[in-house]
Amino acid sequence: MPDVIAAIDEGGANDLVQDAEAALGTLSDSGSGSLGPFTASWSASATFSGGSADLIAPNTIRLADVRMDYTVSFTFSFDLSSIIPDFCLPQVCVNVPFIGRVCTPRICIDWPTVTIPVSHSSFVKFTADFNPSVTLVGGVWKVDLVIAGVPSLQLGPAAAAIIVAIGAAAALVLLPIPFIGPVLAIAVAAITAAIGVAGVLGLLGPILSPFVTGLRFTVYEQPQVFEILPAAPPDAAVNVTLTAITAAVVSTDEDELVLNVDFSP
Amino acid sequence: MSTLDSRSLTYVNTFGRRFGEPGQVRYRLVTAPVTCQPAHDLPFTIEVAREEGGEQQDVTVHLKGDALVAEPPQLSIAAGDLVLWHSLASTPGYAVQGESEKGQFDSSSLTSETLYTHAFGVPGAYEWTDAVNRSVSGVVNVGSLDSGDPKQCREWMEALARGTLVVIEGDRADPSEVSVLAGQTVFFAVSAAEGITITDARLIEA
Repeated sequence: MPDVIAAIDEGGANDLVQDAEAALGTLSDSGSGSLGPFTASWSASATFSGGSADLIAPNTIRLADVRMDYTVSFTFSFDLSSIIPDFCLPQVCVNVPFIGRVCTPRICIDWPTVTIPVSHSSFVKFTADFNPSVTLVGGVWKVDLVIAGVPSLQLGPAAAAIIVAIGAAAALVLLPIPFIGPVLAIAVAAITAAIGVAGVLGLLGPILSPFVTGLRFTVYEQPQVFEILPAAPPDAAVNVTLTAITAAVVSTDEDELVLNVDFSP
Repeated sequence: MSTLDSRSLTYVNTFGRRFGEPGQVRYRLVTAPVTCQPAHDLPFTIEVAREEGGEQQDVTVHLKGDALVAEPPQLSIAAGDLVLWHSLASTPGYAVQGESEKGQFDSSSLTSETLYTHAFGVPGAYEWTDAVNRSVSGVVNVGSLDSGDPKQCREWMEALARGTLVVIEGDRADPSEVSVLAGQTVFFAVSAAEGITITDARLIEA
């Protein structure tokens, strides 16, 4: 029989999760990856909120509709010549009164390397199962909810929006390039087609999924040894040592998250 | 950034000069229009024959190692022929400086019977002037179009082959204001001038 048994119902679990999400704060990461045929450097940040807890015995806390708000920024550079065909101004001739007929040569345009920055903020909701995990690290007991399994993130709408944003950003970057005019629309279409929704998903998924797959909410934290003050003098304060903590979802008349605690004076 | 400046020729420019007098012309290509250089440093020649011509002769300028070279380096032409210098895309801005028994010439100082062409790549209004004395000036309005519209795009492609001529005589440019589409070429032909430049006024103010 444990020394202390603490139990919370689903309402209490919801409160714990909301607090844990707030305590988790903003997660961020950066790196590089493939954006279609291009390489993009990226940075991303994510916060979590919401979700309702469903306690499922013996060991599962299902959080439904957790909201992940994220911002992802990436830049990709490439040689424009690799994406749009060579463009040549034709020979141009005029009659100059005191010289005669003069013709310029055909001029082929040397397309530059361009860098296109794109930023996108949105949110995605997911449902995932978590398992309680109790650890004693550095003299502190922690009860975490650790995600079990990888939920599928519905990033299709975000990818479509990012493709549109890439098109708009590309047009802005390309517009000042000399002689781009006649092939501007072709260039923008070629860039977005080369990347495609699949290309964005191929980058976005690996960026955002780790935020979720590594998700760990700390719902309870307590130093292993802590002091209990006396109710009244002359008793002395005593140190209590938590020797063991276990956590599990227990189904009795209702589902509860139960912590069993053993301690020694 | 505008590159409308006859003092620095790039691949979107040409410089032309009509050689009416027979004799030998020697010239050099420089990345900066420096006038004080040894006379022997004129590696390229144009032999102007006595017979009369009136044709156009092209010279291509490109970078070989760290030196600007003309191709062909020696050119034989008839009197009255126009020599037109143009460069490859990778060539840095340059000027053509030469001399003959009849005198000197310099592409960065346009005189009679010379020509400067510029293909305008970016839409906008370009006020040009003579960078030295501001003795002559004009405006080139460069328009754009919806490149996503196939009809406009087709018209644009056709327009690219049409040039626009501005004749400069003394302090007068005729016409003083022209309108073209991005990608079109304007020919600035100098019939009489003491030595002017065609320079975007913003480059001078900067």
